[in-house]
Amino acid sequence: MLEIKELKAKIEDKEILKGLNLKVNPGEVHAIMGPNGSGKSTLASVLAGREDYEVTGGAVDFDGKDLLDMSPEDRAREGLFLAFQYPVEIPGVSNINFLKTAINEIREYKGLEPMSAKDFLKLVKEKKALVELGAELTNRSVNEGFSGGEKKRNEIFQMAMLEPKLAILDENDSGLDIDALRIVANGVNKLRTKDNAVVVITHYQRLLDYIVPDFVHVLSGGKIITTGDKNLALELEDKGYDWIKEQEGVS
Amino acid sequence: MSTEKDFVVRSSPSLNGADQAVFKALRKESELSLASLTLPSTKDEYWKYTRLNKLGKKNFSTEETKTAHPQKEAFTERVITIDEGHFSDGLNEEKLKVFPIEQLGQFPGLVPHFGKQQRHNEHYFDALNTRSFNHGFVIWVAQGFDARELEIQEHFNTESKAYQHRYLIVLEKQAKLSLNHRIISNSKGQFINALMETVVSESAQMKLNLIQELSEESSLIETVYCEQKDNSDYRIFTASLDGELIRNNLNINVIGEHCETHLNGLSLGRAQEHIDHHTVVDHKLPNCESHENYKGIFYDKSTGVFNGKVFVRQEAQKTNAFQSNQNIVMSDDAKVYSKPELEIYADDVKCSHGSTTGQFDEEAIFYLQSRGIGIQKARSLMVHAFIAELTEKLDNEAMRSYLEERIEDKLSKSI
Repeated sequence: MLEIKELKAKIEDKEILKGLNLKVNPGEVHAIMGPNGSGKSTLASVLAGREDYEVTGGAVDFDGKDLLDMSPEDRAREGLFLAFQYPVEIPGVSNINFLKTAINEIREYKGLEPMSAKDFLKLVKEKKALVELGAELTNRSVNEGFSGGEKKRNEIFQMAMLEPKLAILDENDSGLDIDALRIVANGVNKLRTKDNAVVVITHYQRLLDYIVPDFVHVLSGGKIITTGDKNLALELEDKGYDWIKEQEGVS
Repeated sequence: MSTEKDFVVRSSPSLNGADQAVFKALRKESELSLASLTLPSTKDEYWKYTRLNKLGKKNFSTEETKTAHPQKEAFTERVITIDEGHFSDGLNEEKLKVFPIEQLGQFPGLVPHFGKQQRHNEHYFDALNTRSFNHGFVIWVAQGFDARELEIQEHFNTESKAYQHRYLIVLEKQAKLSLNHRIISNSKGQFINALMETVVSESAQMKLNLIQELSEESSLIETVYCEQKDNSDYRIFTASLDGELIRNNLNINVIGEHCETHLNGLSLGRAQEHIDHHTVVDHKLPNCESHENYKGIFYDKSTGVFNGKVFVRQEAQKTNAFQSNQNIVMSDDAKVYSKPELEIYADDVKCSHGSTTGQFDEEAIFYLQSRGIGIQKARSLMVHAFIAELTEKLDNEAMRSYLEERIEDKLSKSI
């Protein structure tokens, strides 16, 4: 589904990704861990198409298409979803209008008729239950005045509404208490199918107790330096990143 | 001096049927004022950011012609169309009268209100209008009468023509009126100098929606005076949508207690358009409140000017006055000059003012894109969100959706 080959990217002359390789198949959950500044969030941003980053080498294939060649909106329309580390507040744009516009823009791209108001409301009702999001939050402006936990739940709610093929969760556990973490993780788990995939970017092993990964990758110095199963995350929690850097001979 | 004199002549239509005795004295005084006043230049503090050089040099036709104009769907059921200054039908009811200003002399009770607020001694365009107006309307609403919503569509149809139009609105005690005054210019190169005087008597309520739509290369100077008496409520909304140059002068004189005043404005500039709002709210007596909220979006090489002044006089204790001006500049070449001013002489008041000018939050645009929303649509959502605070206050659904359509249309031409 997603194949990243030798990806290199920089921001303002600073090279951050230095030849990254990753392959994600349908039905899989991948966790990407790594120390601060290793390039985790850069990877998420580059995949979503944020303009600040310049891709200087490599290729990304998304279901047979050149992902890097697409605008951010087309990536989303092709089924890529990024759950933001810092969801943006947009005063004056209601959550509902925002999602309706998004769904219909995606449908138009696929040559489908706009969704009827009735079907849309039914979908909202069904999906917001997944992340225990109250009616008052769905009616408000996008993320405006939401608590940290509400913002993260709103990200997963949007993911549920848009049903992406590939979801990238960028540190969605940061700033969450244990209950909110459980709600967010449960939401993600309920959305898993054999046809979609999830990439979880996180600092901590904690989230991986709830969203169990098939693969754990360690990103350091702009490359993936090792890959293992869920036990690798436990070992990292125990021994820290220096241990793995030493093992792999990366300084 | 000669050029100023010349501009007066060039921009003044013949009085034709508007040379009634009731106007004579003021016209003469204004003529005298014009001998010493000059066409404002950027050296005048009050006109610092609005250049009139180009306007001053233009040649205008002042002939009376009757031409067809495109139909504009009205926002409300009751509509009066004024075509090149000529009325379709007025209203002559017992408690509500709408008639051409040329007939003011037939209503002796209203004559004393005429010319009371304009300042021909000080302001060039006031003097020019008072000397030269030949058309316009008068609205009178009787005591305690609710005149509900009324639309006046004024069509200006002749190319390169100068218009001097004059309006007088008098609301007696406890009267109510909601007026949509639409200035629609249908040919290019026009100059419209419009002046309105308004009396909102005790406990009366007036809503005025000014919708300004000018054709290419046309300019509008619209000056509104309003006098508010005890317990009155006055709300004005100005939408400046098109025009080479639009200058709005609003002067609200609050001479009663317990009054409420709302001034809202929306500017949408593209190409080389220049939109200027100068407002004055003068609180003279205690226990009043005023709210001012102006928003502008400027594309291309357009310019926005906001100068809002609120006076709180020494006697005007317990005044609440709030003022806000927010602008979005959509290009590197668009300019905004914003100057909110408060002059407070009383000590027990609540006043605030603020002004922001910036660009759209790129992070918000990216967020919308990352959910599959195209860049154009994302910008349009942001524009609508920005102005929603103003459009949501309009209780006329048709007007609201018309404005939103026009904004959408303008947006698509600018990006």
